[in-house]
Amino acid sequence: MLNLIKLAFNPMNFVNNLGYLGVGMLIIILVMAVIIGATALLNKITGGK
Amino acid sequence: MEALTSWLATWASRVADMTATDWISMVAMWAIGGILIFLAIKKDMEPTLLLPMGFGAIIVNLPGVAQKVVDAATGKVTYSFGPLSELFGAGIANELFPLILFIGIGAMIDFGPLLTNPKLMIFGAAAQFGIFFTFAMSSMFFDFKDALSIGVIGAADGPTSIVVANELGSTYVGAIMVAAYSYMALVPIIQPPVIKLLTTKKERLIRMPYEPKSVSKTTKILFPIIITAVVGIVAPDSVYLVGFLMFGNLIRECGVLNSLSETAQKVLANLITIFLGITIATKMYYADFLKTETLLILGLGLVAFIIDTAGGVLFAKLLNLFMKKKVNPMIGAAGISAFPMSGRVVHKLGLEADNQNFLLMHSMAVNVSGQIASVIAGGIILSFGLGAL
Repeated sequence: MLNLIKLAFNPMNFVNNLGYLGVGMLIIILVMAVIIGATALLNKITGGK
Repeated sequence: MEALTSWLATWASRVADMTATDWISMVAMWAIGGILIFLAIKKDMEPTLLLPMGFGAIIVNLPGVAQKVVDAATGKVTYSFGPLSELFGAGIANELFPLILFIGIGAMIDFGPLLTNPKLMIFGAAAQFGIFFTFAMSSMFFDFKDALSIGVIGAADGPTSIVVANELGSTYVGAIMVAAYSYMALVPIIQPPVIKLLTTKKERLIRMPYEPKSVSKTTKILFPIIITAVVGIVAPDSVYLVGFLMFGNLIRECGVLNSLSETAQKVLANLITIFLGITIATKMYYADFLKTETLLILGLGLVAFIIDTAGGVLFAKLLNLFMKKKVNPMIGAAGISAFPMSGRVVHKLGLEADNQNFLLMHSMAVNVSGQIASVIAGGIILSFGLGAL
């Protein structure tokens, strides 16, 4: 019933792809930081208290 | 009599190739469909999606329903499910359903509490760690694009998962959908033990008084436009994801399209949800679904949710080391998106620690920031997959 095919297992791929983890998190934090800055600025300009 | 014989002959020809294993597999899929319907009705777990998915899973796994289609050029076998496949082509393969649903979701979200304290958005970013970690883990078993698609289960956001998996041409769209929506429904069960494990009682007791501030209408109107522009510049492939979400929010906040906003929140979102769930079921045909890979994807999806939660909590604890005014680290967990369940879970845990510890406004603010961050993360993943980053 369950198609028990042999799965590929390449542990080195984990290590090789950690770079994407770092880059991805860096981009998302930078983008959110820009949005935080823009929002804070917007609040200041438009007088949000 | 002749008509009966003809009907029997047609039916027999359709199921003639089926082995005993196929029959057992179909019954197993009916059981899975039944479980999804049970969870939706009895446990109130994401009923709007699990119920149509469960019912659809039963339909497509009835004997003789699937029409085998063999590609003449490649010899690849696919299955067609009549109008359900037409709906899939018309709304999911081209990503229209999830994107249109985003208009409704955007119209439902009130960014007000987040705009009063924009710093909270950083927790939304931290809680996307599980997406990238799960991608790295998945890459040990799956090819690059499938691993990226599996990682996006951690976005805790169904439409984003659908768009990314489809855009990257993942073979496992069905399993990814089931994992994404099932775990979103299971947030109240998955998150509390992880949060409790990573926080001390003292930390859970930290109070965060809510200071209501007014946010100008201009800010509320410009916010969705700015987010779309920023994300569109960084990850152009995902501009539609965030754009449709923010368009819905702009309709809500502009103040001159109230009837459209109401339609988007209710009628539009409901209509799309009805079609989305039942159409996803076309990817739950036993021959495609009952595979070892499906179980592995379900396991990796769970890892994604756990690591997302842990990422948010640990990031909040890290920030507390440098902050004078401490935050309750539990609010970091609400950054996984899964709006609004995750925000409610954190609020409930705060009350559990101290019945006067009201974290709702903060946890909801982090929760909506998680919605934004998960869409951005989906865009980044999409860009990785399409080689744009």
